[in-house]
Amino acid sequence: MMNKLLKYECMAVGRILVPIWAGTAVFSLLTSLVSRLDDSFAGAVGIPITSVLENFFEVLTALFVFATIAACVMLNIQRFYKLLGDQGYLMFSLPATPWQHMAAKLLCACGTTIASILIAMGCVWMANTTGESEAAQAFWVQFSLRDTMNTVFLVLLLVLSLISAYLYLYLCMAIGSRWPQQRMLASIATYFVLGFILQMTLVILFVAGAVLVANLPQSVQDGFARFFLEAAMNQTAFAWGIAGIILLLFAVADGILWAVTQYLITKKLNLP
Amino acid sequence: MQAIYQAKGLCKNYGRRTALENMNFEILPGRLVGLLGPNGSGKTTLLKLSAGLLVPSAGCVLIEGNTPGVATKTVTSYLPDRLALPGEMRVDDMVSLYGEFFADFDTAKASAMLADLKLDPRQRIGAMSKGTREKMQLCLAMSRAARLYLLDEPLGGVDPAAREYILNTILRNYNENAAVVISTHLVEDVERMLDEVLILKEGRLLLHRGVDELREESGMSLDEYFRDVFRC
Repeated sequence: MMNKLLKYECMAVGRILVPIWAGTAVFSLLTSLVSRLDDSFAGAVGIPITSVLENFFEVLTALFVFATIAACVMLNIQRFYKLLGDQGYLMFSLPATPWQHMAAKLLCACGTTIASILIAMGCVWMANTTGESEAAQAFWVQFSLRDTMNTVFLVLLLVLSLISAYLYLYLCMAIGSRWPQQRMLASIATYFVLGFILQMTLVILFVAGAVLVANLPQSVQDGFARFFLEAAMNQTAFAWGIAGIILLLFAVADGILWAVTQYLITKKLNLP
Repeated sequence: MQAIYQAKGLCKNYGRRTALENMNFEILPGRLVGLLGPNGSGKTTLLKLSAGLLVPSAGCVLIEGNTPGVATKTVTSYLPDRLALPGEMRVDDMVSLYGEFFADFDTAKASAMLADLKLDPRQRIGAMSKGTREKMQLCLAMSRAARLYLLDEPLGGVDPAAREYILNTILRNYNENAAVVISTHLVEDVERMLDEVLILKEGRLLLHRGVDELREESGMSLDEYFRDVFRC
């Protein structure tokens, strides 16, 4: 059932995203061609038409690159929002569980967002305009296989943070759908209010933690200091320890966001 | 004969408001049941609970002995009271979606019914009129060989000619071993086809009776009885 849901989700998203991806690729290819043509006129007197065209296509490519990412994110948000609206009457009467609907939407959202980022980068590279190509090259250097573990960490962090971002939006929409009217407004309000509450909670937790540590007996504080000094001696292990904790925190946050959203759409579903 | 549908002590509250209160009834296979009641009497809530779109506050619904979930959705064909088909999809996309998700969906039957409506398979659902979308939704729901059909206001907001088409579609296509529950206010239109009637009032089950039995007891048609009970 999951495969079928995923297939229909990808088809629905692909119907809109594929033409945008294709448009971005076409404009970046045109930019590249015009840029090469312009190079062949280097040294000519006046401003050749190719120069004007190059600037024109560069702007269009930049707009399409932006649209590729923005459209992908907006579309995926809208897909989940519609699930909690009239389309939910059809989708939730299919023989699939709510978590399968959620998982299909999340997988599709993350997959298409990563694909959009890669396509946007590929198009920037193809357009081969100075500033952007340098940025793209810098990115590829960062993600080169020369430092496999760093790359694995960055990729995992990107995927987990992408999942967190979408799950947070899903949770806000699930809470917003509890309102009988003005659900869109309620979802947006939830996004900001919940964000503020979470930030304040984290600040309070950090302050409480700091106060707690400051009030620990001197011997325990010395123990901590010794531990961190010893850990700092082995920088690689220390760095990986920190990286592991960061990934674990993201994974825990994703788990909590998933569980609450799933509870809301399973037990508290409130279609309009 | 074993009941296909059972409501046992079924209650549903929205916050402090009670939408359904202690519903107890059974529906046998092969019966066409009218779910009648004025606005706000709990008809849609009852059907949403039965389709697994809501969770009861107390009590339960059993369909073929199972509480609403994946197992019951495979044997229940639900028609909501609103346009739920995605506007961006085409007619043939919807037919293939139903075909893939429901093992009891008869693609040939659906295609024939949609052809009767003169719908081009490549037509976008978003480009259809409201009435056509409603009819298409009904055709898809009735193209399944389900054990239980839950039809929420299939006659709501359509012209008399379309009503005729919808009622004929229901009568021609429902599986005789299945039960059909139709919620409506248009009692006169459905009276001739109903075997039983469930009348709801303010979230409570006021009456569950065979239509012929009710006519004999009251000496009125179902429509007259309904008007008499709910006279303002």
